[in-house]
Amino acid sequence: MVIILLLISQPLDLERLYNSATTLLVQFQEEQKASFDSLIELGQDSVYADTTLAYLVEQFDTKSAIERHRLKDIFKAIGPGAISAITMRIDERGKDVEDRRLKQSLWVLGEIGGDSIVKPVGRFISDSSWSIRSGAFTALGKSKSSGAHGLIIQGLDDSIAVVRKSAYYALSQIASEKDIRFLVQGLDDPYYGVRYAALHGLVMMDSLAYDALTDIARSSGYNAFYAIKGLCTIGPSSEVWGIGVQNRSEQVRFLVYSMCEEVAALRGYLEQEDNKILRNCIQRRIGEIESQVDK
Amino acid sequence: MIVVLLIIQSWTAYLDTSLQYIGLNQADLTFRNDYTVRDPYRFAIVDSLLSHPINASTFVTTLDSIFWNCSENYLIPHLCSWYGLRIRMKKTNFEEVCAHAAQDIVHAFSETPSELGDVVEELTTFSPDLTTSIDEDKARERHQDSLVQYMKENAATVDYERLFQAGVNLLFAATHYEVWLNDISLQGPYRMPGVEGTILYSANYEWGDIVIGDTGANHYTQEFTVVIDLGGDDVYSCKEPDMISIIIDKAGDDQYIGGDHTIGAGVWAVSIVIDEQGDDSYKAGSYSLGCGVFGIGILIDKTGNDTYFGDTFTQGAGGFGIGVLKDGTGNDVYEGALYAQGFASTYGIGILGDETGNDMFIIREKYIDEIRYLDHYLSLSQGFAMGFRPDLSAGIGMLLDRAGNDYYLGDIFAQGSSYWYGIGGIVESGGNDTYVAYQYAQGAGTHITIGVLVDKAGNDNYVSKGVSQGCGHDLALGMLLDHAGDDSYVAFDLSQGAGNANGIGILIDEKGDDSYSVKRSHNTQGYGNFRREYGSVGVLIDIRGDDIYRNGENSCVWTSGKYGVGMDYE
Repeated sequence: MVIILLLISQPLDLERLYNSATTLLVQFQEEQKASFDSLIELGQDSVYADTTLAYLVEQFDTKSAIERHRLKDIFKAIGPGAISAITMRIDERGKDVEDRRLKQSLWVLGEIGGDSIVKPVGRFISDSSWSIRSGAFTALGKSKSSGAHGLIIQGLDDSIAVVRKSAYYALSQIASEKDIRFLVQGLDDPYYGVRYAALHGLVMMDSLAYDALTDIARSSGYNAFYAIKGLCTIGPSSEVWGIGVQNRSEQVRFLVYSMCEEVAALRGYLEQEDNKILRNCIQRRIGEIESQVDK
Repeated sequence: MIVVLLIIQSWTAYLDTSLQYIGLNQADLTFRNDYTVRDPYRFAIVDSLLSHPINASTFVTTLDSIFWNCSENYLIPHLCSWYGLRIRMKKTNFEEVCAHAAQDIVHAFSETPSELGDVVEELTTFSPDLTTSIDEDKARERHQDSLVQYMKENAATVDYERLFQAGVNLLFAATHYEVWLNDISLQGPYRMPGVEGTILYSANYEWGDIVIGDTGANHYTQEFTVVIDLGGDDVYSCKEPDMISIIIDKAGDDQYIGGDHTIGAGVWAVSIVIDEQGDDSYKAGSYSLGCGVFGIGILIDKTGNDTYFGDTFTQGAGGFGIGVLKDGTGNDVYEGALYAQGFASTYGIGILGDETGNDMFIIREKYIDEIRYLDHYLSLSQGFAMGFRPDLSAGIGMLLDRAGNDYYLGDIFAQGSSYWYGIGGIVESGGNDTYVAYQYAQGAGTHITIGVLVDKAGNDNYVSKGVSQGCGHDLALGMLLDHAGDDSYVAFDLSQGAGNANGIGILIDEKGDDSYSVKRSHNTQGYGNFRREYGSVGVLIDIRGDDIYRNGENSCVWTSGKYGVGMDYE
């Protein structure tokens, strides 16, 4: 408020504030911080918000990476009050084929989040540009709106891995029990970004996903790694560990050893484990736990 | 080549095993090449390596092999092939070659606006002074953007095929000058203006002039198109060449002195310096010492303990051209300030190769890195490639050293690193080497690019602060491969097999008793963070030897977060 009062006494020079807020020069960092805070205040002010937000949205087409990041931070701090200023111009893609303005809009809307971004963002899930589709799905995920569900599942089988990753990420943010089958499918994706997003979704569902993960964990497939990882996160137990240590894969067994908290169990695994590297890992893990107990 | 392939196979198997500990495989280590619209100056090999970044080490070691095992007359056409150009040598009479080359160079620039040269220089010139106001900084940014757009549009008006053809032919003629020498009748000794001491031959042509100095000491105070000196401790006061400049010095401890655009400076020209013997000193300004900017600049020094001093765009530096500095035997010292020692900007290839000897590669502190620090300096050198983000890709910058105990000193952006759609690399083939830098160094890729450092042998020391030693930042690969020796790695944070912002960072040490020291344990030694809703990948692998770590230990595997893994196999 103090900043606004000071600014009222002078003509509002948004360009100057913006240049200062987006500088990288080390010698001007104090000025940068003050200008950054000023723009946030102005963006929330009942008198200056419209003008300020219109100016800032106009900068969305910038080629400068630092400006894009600072704009995102400013709008995120301003909050939901900034959404309409962005959506008013969301059909503008930018002055060249890079579509910077639209990409920035989707990114910033996602950072603000909320139900009200779903409709404007959802219009771009079938865009011809993979990066726009990816940005749209990511924003829908960040909205954390269950209203985005029908849109999100349309991206799960996109031909581009990065887009699928964004769709699975989005699903992981709002998934319910009916989505378990999609998430389980995601564990088989050729791209690790999808696999991890799917796993995250299953972990978020906690005990609801337990049976599905246990079935996968008992299999000999590649995705047993992810299933064990998920189970150890949801509810580590001797049953889970037992499934894991019986796996032929050293990597699965390592997961168990690295997440197991019980020294007695670890000592038992040490007696069974033949692999020298994994034996060392178990001993190291025992040492870590015992040193924490001592503290 | 077979040996190289076998080595590659062995560590990739270890990489595959290690990746499985974080639920990944090698197919996951890939980038797209269309995060931004492709500019017309990006090398196809860059796109290929972004899709298969693990092949980056093969690429740089293959280039290293070609550089050392093939003649320059094979190397330069090979480099031209990366531009999609098939250049063949035309083996004709020396004078005919020069005449045709002059015509080729004139034609190469016949459609090119003369302002382009000023634009390029303005874009690649830094001030050592701090910026005094934000307004000044923003005005400069806008102006630079307009210069980049101008360069982007007008650099395509150059006929690179004709330009490089001229360079290849002139290089062949220069490396076979003795054939021509046998065919002419030497006239001297006599004196002529522009040369102190006596000469044996001179001739004038439409395209320039030729002077042959005798075996005594000469001082060339004037710029001649072709100088062949048969011996003696000579001095060359070099000026900016017109279109063609060739200096061939057979023997003696020589001094080459010039300002900007001199001494193997192919700047809108072809410039070749070949010094066959002696302990020589080369002192120039910017755009020098094997520099190609809209041209080809080659400096070959075959033997002797030599010193090279330049400023910006020097010592094997290329931008819209090819710059090569090749030094044979001897203990040498290289000093530059920026864009030096195997550097490439857009559509450029810059290579510095040193064959043997205990050498020092120094980038002095001159240009403050004021967007990050007030007490550190931009190097952008030593096997470094730099693009103009977001508009123009980088080129291919390589520093190749075959043997000797060498010392590398840089600061910010150095030593087998790269920025924006390029390839920066160092291949060190022998000796106990020391690498010292601060940030974005020693196998570091920053923003959709490839940075690789391969050291094949010796007990080496790597010292840096952060984003170093096999670190990939923002959809980039940073890779450090050390094949053998008892090595020491020292860093502060985000290093030693670290991936940040969806980058891939890999550090692999194959043999030897090594030590890995870091200050911050949470983002080093096999670390990959979560960004843009998925991972960055960081891998540290040590295959053999008795080693010491901050985060791991011998015969152990450890993970950091979801996407980082460290593994010691023995």
